[in-house]
Amino acid sequence: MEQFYDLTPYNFGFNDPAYWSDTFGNCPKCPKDGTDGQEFTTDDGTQYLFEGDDWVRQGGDAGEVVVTPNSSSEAQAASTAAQARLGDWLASDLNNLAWAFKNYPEPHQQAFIQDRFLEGRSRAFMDHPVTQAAITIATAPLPVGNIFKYGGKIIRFGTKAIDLKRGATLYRAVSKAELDDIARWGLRSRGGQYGYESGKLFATSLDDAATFGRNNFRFDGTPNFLIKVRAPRSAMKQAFTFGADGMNAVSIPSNQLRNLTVSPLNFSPIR
Amino acid sequence: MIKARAYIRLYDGEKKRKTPFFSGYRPTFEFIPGMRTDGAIGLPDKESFAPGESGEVILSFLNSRYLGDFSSGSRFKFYEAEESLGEGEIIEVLDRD
Repeated sequence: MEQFYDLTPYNFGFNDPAYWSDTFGNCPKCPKDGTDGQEFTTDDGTQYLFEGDDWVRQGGDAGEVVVTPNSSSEAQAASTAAQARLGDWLASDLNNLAWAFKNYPEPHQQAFIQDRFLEGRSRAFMDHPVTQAAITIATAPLPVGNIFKYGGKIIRFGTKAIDLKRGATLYRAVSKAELDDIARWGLRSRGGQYGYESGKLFATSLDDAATFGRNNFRFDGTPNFLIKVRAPRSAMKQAFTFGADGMNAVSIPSNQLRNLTVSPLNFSPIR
Repeated sequence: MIKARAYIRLYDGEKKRKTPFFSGYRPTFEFIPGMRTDGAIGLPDKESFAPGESGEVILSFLNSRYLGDFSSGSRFKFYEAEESLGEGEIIEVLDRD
Protein backbone atom coordinates (compact mmCIF):
# COMPACT_ATOMS: atom_id res chain seq x y z
CA MET A 1 0.00 0.00 0.00
CA GLU A 2 2.98 2.29 0.37
CA GLN A 3 2.91 2.70 -3.38
CA PHE A 4 -0.73 3.79 -3.32
CA TYR A 5 -0.60 6.31 -0.55
CA ASP A 6 -2.85 8.65 -2.51
CA LEU A 7 -5.74 6.17 -2.74
CA THR A 8 -7.99 6.70 0.26
CA PRO A 9 -11.74 6.67 0.95
CA TYR A 10 -11.49 10.47 1.10
CA ASN A 11 -10.20 11.09 -2.41
CA PHE A 12 -13.52 12.78 -3.24
CA GLY A 13 -12.48 15.52 -0.82
CA PHE A 14 -8.83 15.56 -1.81
CA ASN A 15 -8.02 13.43 1.25
CA ASP A 16 -9.20 16.25 3.45
CA PRO A 17 -12.82 15.44 4.38
CA ALA A 18 -12.72 17.91 7.26
CA TYR A 19 -12.42 20.73 4.78
CA TRP A 20 -13.84 19.60 1.45
CA SER A 21 -17.16 18.19 0.42
CA ASP A 22 -18.74 17.15 -2.83
CA THR A 23 -22.41 17.47 -2.10
CA PHE A 24 -23.46 17.93 -5.68
CA GLY A 25 -21.50 14.93 -6.83
CA ASN A 26 -19.48 16.74 -9.44
CA CYS A 27 -16.81 14.09 -9.16
CA PRO A 28 -13.52 15.93 -9.46
CA LYS A 29 -11.75 12.58 -9.82
CA CYS A 30 -13.68 11.51 -12.91
CA PRO A 31 -12.04 11.75 -16.32
CA LYS A 32 -12.41 15.22 -17.78
CA ASP A 33 -14.17 14.05 -20.90
CA GLY A 34 -16.67 11.21 -20.93
CA THR A 35 -19.22 9.81 -23.31
CA ASP A 36 -22.93 9.41 -22.65
CA GLY A 37 -23.59 6.31 -20.61
CA GLN A 38 -19.96 5.88 -19.51
CA GLU A 39 -19.55 4.71 -15.93
CA PHE A 40 -16.78 5.56 -13.51
CA THR A 41 -16.01 4.30 -10.04
CA THR A 42 -13.89 6.47 -7.80
CA ASP A 43 -11.26 5.14 -5.43
CA ASP A 44 -13.77 5.17 -2.62
CA GLY A 45 -16.27 3.15 -4.62
CA THR A 46 -18.69 5.93 -5.54
CA GLN A 47 -20.42 5.25 -8.84
CA TYR A 48 -20.80 7.95 -11.45
CA LEU A 49 -22.60 8.00 -14.80
CA PHE A 50 -21.83 10.42 -17.61
CA GLU A 51 -25.07 12.12 -18.71
CA GLY A 52 -25.37 15.13 -20.96
CA ASP A 53 -21.98 16.62 -20.34
CA ASP A 54 -21.54 15.97 -16.66
CA TRP A 55 -20.75 13.16 -14.30
CA VAL A 56 -23.78 12.42 -12.15
CA ARG A 57 -23.42 10.53 -8.91
CA GLN A 58 -25.57 7.38 -8.77
CA GLY A 59 -27.29 5.88 -5.79
CA GLY A 60 -28.53 8.61 -3.51
CA ASP A 61 -29.27 12.21 -4.03
CA ALA A 62 -26.35 14.36 -3.08
CA GLY A 63 -28.69 17.26 -2.53
CA GLU A 64 -30.04 15.53 0.55
CA VAL A 65 -26.75 15.98 2.34
CA VAL A 66 -26.60 19.11 4.41
CA VAL A 67 -23.05 20.32 4.51
CA THR A 68 -21.68 23.12 6.59
CA PRO A 69 -18.08 24.20 6.94
CA ASN A 70 -16.48 22.30 9.78
CA SER A 71 -15.27 24.63 12.45
CA SER A 72 -14.58 22.40 15.46
CA SER A 73 -11.02 22.40 16.77
CA GLU A 74 -10.78 18.66 16.07
CA ALA A 75 -11.76 19.19 12.45
CA GLN A 76 -9.35 22.09 12.14
CA ALA A 77 -6.54 19.94 13.50
CA ALA A 78 -7.41 17.16 11.03
CA SER A 79 -7.48 19.71 8.25
CA THR A 80 -4.10 21.14 9.21
CA ALA A 81 -2.58 17.67 9.35
CA ALA A 82 -4.02 16.79 5.95
CA GLN A 83 -2.73 20.04 4.49
CA ALA A 84 0.74 19.30 5.87
CA ARG A 85 0.76 15.84 4.26
CA LEU A 86 -0.50 17.37 1.10
CA GLY A 87 2.38 19.80 1.18
CA ASP A 88 4.87 16.92 1.46
CA TRP A 89 3.38 15.18 -1.54
CA LEU A 90 3.34 18.31 -3.59
CA ALA A 91 6.89 19.14 -2.60
CA SER A 92 7.74 15.81 -4.14
CA ASP A 93 5.78 16.78 -7.22
CA LEU A 94 7.65 20.05 -7.37
CA ASN A 95 10.93 18.17 -7.39
CA ASN A 96 9.64 16.13 -10.31
CA LEU A 97 8.50 19.29 -11.96
CA ALA A 98 11.87 20.91 -11.56
CA TRP A 99 13.44 17.78 -13.03
CA ALA A 100 11.03 17.92 -15.96
CA PHE A 101 11.83 21.53 -16.64
CA LYS A 102 15.51 20.81 -16.53
CA ASN A 103 15.37 17.78 -18.80
CA TYR A 104 12.38 18.25 -21.07
CA PRO A 105 12.23 20.88 -23.77
CA GLU A 106 8.96 22.56 -24.65
CA PRO A 107 6.30 21.38 -25.42
CA HIS A 108 7.05 18.26 -23.36
CA GLN A 109 7.06 20.35 -20.20
CA GLN A 110 3.44 21.22 -20.81
CA ALA A 111 2.52 17.59 -21.40
CA PHE A 112 4.19 16.65 -18.15
CA ILE A 113 2.37 19.32 -16.23
CA GLN A 114 -0.90 18.29 -17.84
CA ASP A 115 -0.41 14.70 -16.76
CA ARG A 116 1.01 15.33 -13.39
CA PHE A 117 -0.98 18.29 -12.19
CA LEU A 118 -4.27 18.19 -14.01
CA GLU A 119 -5.07 14.57 -14.78
CA GLY A 120 -3.45 12.93 -11.77
CA ARG A 121 -4.20 13.32 -8.10
CA SER A 122 -2.59 16.73 -7.91
CA ARG A 123 -5.33 18.18 -10.07
CA ALA A 124 -7.37 18.11 -6.90
CA PHE A 125 -5.03 20.37 -5.02
CA MET A 126 -5.55 23.45 -7.12
CA ASP A 127 -6.06 25.69 -4.13
CA HIS A 128 -3.04 24.58 -2.15
CA PRO A 129 -0.21 27.12 -1.92
CA VAL A 130 2.27 24.57 -3.22
CA THR A 131 0.06 23.89 -6.23
CA GLN A 132 -0.26 27.59 -6.78
CA ALA A 133 3.51 27.81 -6.78
CA ALA A 134 3.66 25.01 -9.31
CA ILE A 135 1.14 26.80 -11.47
CA THR A 136 3.20 29.95 -11.30
CA ILE A 137 6.18 27.94 -12.50
CA ALA A 138 4.19 26.32 -15.25
CA THR A 139 2.69 29.64 -16.42
CA ALA A 140 0.45 27.68 -18.71
CA PRO A 141 -3.23 28.39 -19.24
CA LEU A 142 -4.97 25.76 -17.18
CA PRO A 143 -7.77 23.86 -18.88
CA VAL A 144 -9.80 23.47 -15.74
CA GLY A 145 -13.54 23.76 -15.51
CA ASN A 146 -14.60 21.71 -12.55
CA ILE A 147 -16.99 22.95 -9.94
CA PHE A 148 -15.93 22.17 -6.43
CA LYS A 149 -17.68 22.59 -3.13
CA TYR A 150 -15.23 24.35 -0.88
CA GLY A 151 -15.98 24.99 2.75
CA GLY A 152 -19.72 24.85 2.12
CA LYS A 153 -19.52 27.29 -0.76
CA ILE A 154 -19.56 26.41 -4.43
CA ILE A 155 -16.60 27.73 -6.31
CA ARG A 156 -15.87 27.42 -9.98
CA PHE A 157 -12.54 26.94 -11.63
CA GLY A 158 -12.28 28.19 -15.15
CA THR A 159 -15.18 29.60 -17.06
CA LYS A 160 -17.54 26.66 -17.23
CA ALA A 161 -21.09 27.90 -16.94
CA ILE A 162 -24.39 26.43 -17.97
CA ASP A 163 -24.26 25.88 -21.68
CA LEU A 164 -27.76 25.70 -23.03
CA LYS A 165 -26.75 23.41 -25.83
CA ARG A 166 -25.54 20.81 -23.33
CA GLY A 167 -27.16 18.95 -20.48
CA ALA A 168 -27.68 20.81 -17.22
CA THR A 169 -28.76 20.44 -13.63
CA LEU A 170 -31.63 22.78 -12.86
CA TYR A 171 -33.79 23.54 -9.83
CA ARG A 172 -37.42 24.47 -9.27
CA ALA A 173 -39.61 25.40 -6.34
CA VAL A 174 -42.89 23.48 -6.42
CA SER A 175 -46.03 23.33 -4.29
CA LYS A 176 -47.06 20.14 -2.54
CA ALA A 177 -49.78 19.70 -5.17
CA GLU A 178 -47.23 19.92 -8.00
CA LEU A 179 -44.85 17.61 -6.17
CA ASP A 180 -47.63 15.03 -5.86
CA ASP A 181 -48.46 15.44 -9.54
CA ILE A 182 -44.79 14.95 -10.48
CA ALA A 183 -44.64 11.82 -8.34
CA ARG A 184 -47.64 10.40 -10.15
CA TRP A 185 -47.23 11.66 -13.70
CA GLY A 186 -43.78 13.12 -14.02
CA LEU A 187 -43.19 16.74 -15.03
CA ARG A 188 -45.93 18.12 -17.24
CA SER A 189 -47.58 21.45 -18.03
CA ARG A 190 -51.27 21.41 -18.73
CA GLY A 191 -52.31 25.05 -18.85
CA GLY A 192 -55.77 26.06 -17.66
CA GLN A 193 -56.09 26.14 -13.89
CA TYR A 194 -52.71 24.39 -13.64
CA GLY A 195 -50.80 27.42 -14.89
CA TYR A 196 -48.27 27.44 -17.70
CA GLU A 197 -49.13 25.80 -20.99
CA SER A 198 -45.92 26.22 -22.95
CA GLY A 199 -43.56 24.56 -20.48
CA LYS A 200 -42.03 25.07 -17.06
CA LEU A 201 -39.48 27.48 -15.70
CA PHE A 202 -36.38 26.38 -13.83
CA ALA A 203 -33.61 28.14 -11.93
CA THR A 204 -29.96 27.49 -12.60
CA SER A 205 -29.01 27.43 -8.93
CA LEU A 206 -30.49 26.15 -5.71
CA ASP A 207 -30.35 29.65 -4.23
CA ASP A 208 -32.38 31.13 -7.07
CA ALA A 209 -34.96 28.34 -6.82
CA ALA A 210 -35.26 28.98 -3.08
CA THR A 211 -35.77 32.70 -3.74
CA PHE A 212 -38.47 31.86 -6.25
CA GLY A 213 -40.07 29.53 -3.70
CA ARG A 214 -40.17 32.29 -1.10
CA ASN A 215 -41.73 34.61 -3.68
CA ASN A 216 -44.37 31.98 -4.42
CA PHE A 217 -45.25 31.92 -0.76
CA ARG A 218 -45.56 35.70 -0.66
CA PHE A 219 -47.95 35.54 -3.61
CA ASP A 220 -50.24 32.72 -2.58
CA GLY A 221 -49.23 31.59 0.93
CA THR A 222 -48.46 28.06 -0.25
CA PRO A 223 -45.26 26.44 1.12
CA ASN A 224 -42.88 25.21 -1.57
CA PHE A 225 -40.48 22.30 -1.92
CA LEU A 226 -37.32 22.26 -3.99
CA ILE A 227 -36.63 19.75 -6.71
CA LYS A 228 -33.41 19.09 -8.59
CA VAL A 229 -33.83 18.29 -12.26
CA ARG A 230 -31.44 16.71 -14.70
CA ALA A 231 -32.10 18.10 -18.18
CA PRO A 232 -30.38 16.15 -20.96
CA ARG A 233 -28.76 17.82 -23.92
CA SER A 234 -31.82 17.11 -26.09
CA ALA A 235 -34.05 19.12 -23.74
CA MET A 236 -31.55 21.94 -23.31
CA LYS A 237 -31.27 22.36 -27.06
CA GLN A 238 -34.91 23.46 -27.08
CA ALA A 239 -34.71 25.49 -23.89
CA PHE A 240 -35.11 29.23 -23.74
CA THR A 241 -33.18 31.20 -21.18
CA PHE A 242 -33.82 34.70 -19.90
CA GLY A 243 -33.33 36.90 -16.87
CA ALA A 244 -36.20 37.58 -14.49
CA ASP A 245 -35.87 39.64 -11.31
CA GLY A 246 -32.11 39.47 -11.69
CA MET A 247 -32.05 35.67 -11.75
CA ASN A 248 -31.42 33.25 -14.57
CA ALA A 249 -34.49 31.37 -15.72
CA VAL A 250 -34.62 28.44 -18.11
CA SER A 251 -37.85 27.55 -19.85
CA ILE A 252 -38.12 23.90 -20.89
CA PRO A 253 -40.93 23.38 -23.44
CA SER A 254 -43.79 21.02 -22.64
CA ASN A 255 -42.75 18.39 -25.16
CA GLN A 256 -39.37 18.01 -23.44
CA LEU A 257 -40.53 17.81 -19.83
CA ARG A 258 -40.90 14.03 -19.95
CA ASN A 259 -37.19 13.74 -20.69
CA LEU A 260 -36.23 15.38 -17.41
CA THR A 261 -35.40 13.37 -14.32
CA VAL A 262 -36.53 14.79 -10.99
CA SER A 263 -35.06 14.42 -7.51
CA PRO A 264 -36.97 16.05 -4.66
CA LEU A 265 -34.51 17.62 -2.24
CA ASN A 266 -34.89 16.82 1.38
CA PHE A 267 -35.50 20.33 2.58
CA SER A 268 -38.24 21.76 4.73
CA PRO A 269 -40.95 23.60 2.88
CA ILE A 270 -39.93 27.14 2.05
CA ARG A 271 -42.12 29.78 3.58
CA MET B 1 -47.13 44.02 -2.48
CA ILE B 2 -47.40 46.38 -5.45
CA LYS B 3 -50.86 46.29 -7.02
CA ALA B 4 -52.41 47.89 -10.07
CA ARG B 5 -55.56 47.73 -12.09
CA ALA B 6 -54.77 46.99 -15.72
CA TYR B 7 -56.41 46.28 -19.04
CA ILE B 8 -54.94 43.27 -20.79
CA ARG B 9 -55.40 41.25 -23.93
CA LEU B 10 -54.56 37.54 -24.04
CA TYR B 11 -53.50 36.68 -27.58
CA ASP B 12 -54.82 33.71 -29.48
CA GLY B 13 -53.32 31.95 -32.47
CA GLU B 14 -50.29 29.84 -33.18
CA LYS B 15 -47.71 29.65 -30.39
CA LYS B 16 -50.16 31.35 -28.03
CA ARG B 17 -52.15 29.90 -25.17
CA LYS B 18 -54.87 27.46 -26.12
CA THR B 19 -56.48 27.29 -22.69
CA PRO B 20 -57.77 30.06 -20.43
CA PHE B 21 -55.80 31.08 -17.36
CA PHE B 22 -57.32 31.35 -13.91
CA SER B 23 -56.97 33.91 -11.12
CA GLY B 24 -53.46 33.79 -9.68
CA TYR B 25 -51.78 33.05 -13.03
CA ARG B 26 -48.07 33.93 -12.80
CA PRO B 27 -46.50 34.90 -16.10
CA THR B 28 -43.36 37.02 -16.33
CA PHE B 29 -43.93 40.68 -17.19
CA GLU B 30 -41.83 42.99 -19.33
CA PHE B 31 -42.24 46.71 -18.63
CA ILE B 32 -38.66 47.52 -19.64
CA PRO B 33 -37.50 45.88 -22.88
CA GLY B 34 -35.25 42.93 -22.12
CA MET B 35 -36.00 42.89 -18.37
CA ARG B 36 -38.62 40.63 -16.91
CA THR B 37 -40.20 40.41 -13.51
CA ASP B 38 -42.40 37.92 -11.74
CA GLY B 39 -46.02 38.91 -11.13
CA ALA B 40 -49.53 37.61 -10.73
CA ILE B 41 -52.79 38.31 -12.52
CA GLY B 42 -55.89 38.35 -10.36
CA LEU B 43 -59.39 38.16 -11.83
CA PRO B 44 -61.73 40.18 -9.61
CA ASP B 45 -64.99 39.45 -11.40
CA LYS B 46 -64.57 36.25 -13.40
CA GLU B 47 -63.24 32.76 -13.00
CA SER B 48 -61.06 32.48 -16.09
CA PHE B 49 -59.59 34.55 -18.90
CA ALA B 50 -59.71 32.98 -22.37
CA PRO B 51 -57.36 33.35 -25.35
CA GLY B 52 -58.53 36.22 -27.55
CA GLU B 53 -60.25 37.91 -24.62
CA SER B 54 -59.60 41.44 -23.33
CA GLY B 55 -60.54 42.87 -19.96
CA GLU B 56 -59.64 44.36 -16.62
CA VAL B 57 -57.47 42.52 -14.14
CA ILE B 58 -55.49 43.19 -10.97
CA LEU B 59 -51.72 42.82 -11.24
CA SER B 60 -49.49 42.08 -8.22
CA PHE B 61 -45.71 42.39 -8.00
CA LEU B 62 -43.21 41.84 -5.21
CA ASN B 63 -40.70 44.50 -6.19
CA SER B 64 -40.66 47.61 -8.33
CA ARG B 65 -37.12 47.29 -9.65
CA TYR B 66 -38.18 46.05 -13.07
CA LEU B 67 -41.45 47.96 -13.45
CA GLY B 68 -40.12 51.18 -14.98
CA ASP B 69 -42.07 54.28 -13.95
CA PHE B 70 -45.16 52.10 -13.35
CA SER B 71 -47.94 54.64 -13.68
CA SER B 72 -51.23 54.97 -15.51
CA GLY B 73 -50.57 54.37 -19.18
CA SER B 74 -47.49 52.16 -18.63
CA ARG B 75 -47.54 49.41 -21.20
CA PHE B 76 -46.24 45.88 -20.80
CA LYS B 77 -46.14 42.41 -22.31
CA PHE B 78 -46.36 39.11 -20.50
CA TYR B 79 -44.74 35.77 -21.20
CA GLU B 80 -44.37 32.17 -20.15
CA ALA B 81 -41.29 31.51 -22.27
CA GLU B 82 -39.93 33.16 -25.41
CA GLU B 83 -43.18 34.23 -27.11
CA SER B 84 -45.24 37.03 -25.63
CA LEU B 85 -48.69 35.70 -24.78
CA GLY B 86 -50.39 39.01 -24.22
CA GLU B 87 -50.06 42.72 -23.60
CA GLY B 88 -51.61 45.34 -21.42
CA GLU B 89 -51.71 48.83 -20.00
CA ILE B 90 -51.83 50.06 -16.41
CA ILE B 91 -55.10 51.88 -15.65
CA GLU B 92 -54.48 52.78 -12.01
CA VAL B 93 -51.77 52.01 -9.46
CA LEU B 94 -53.52 50.78 -6.30
CA ASP B 95 -50.57 50.14 -4.00
CA ARG B 96 -46.86 50.89 -4.36
CA ASP B 97 -45.57 49.11 -1.21
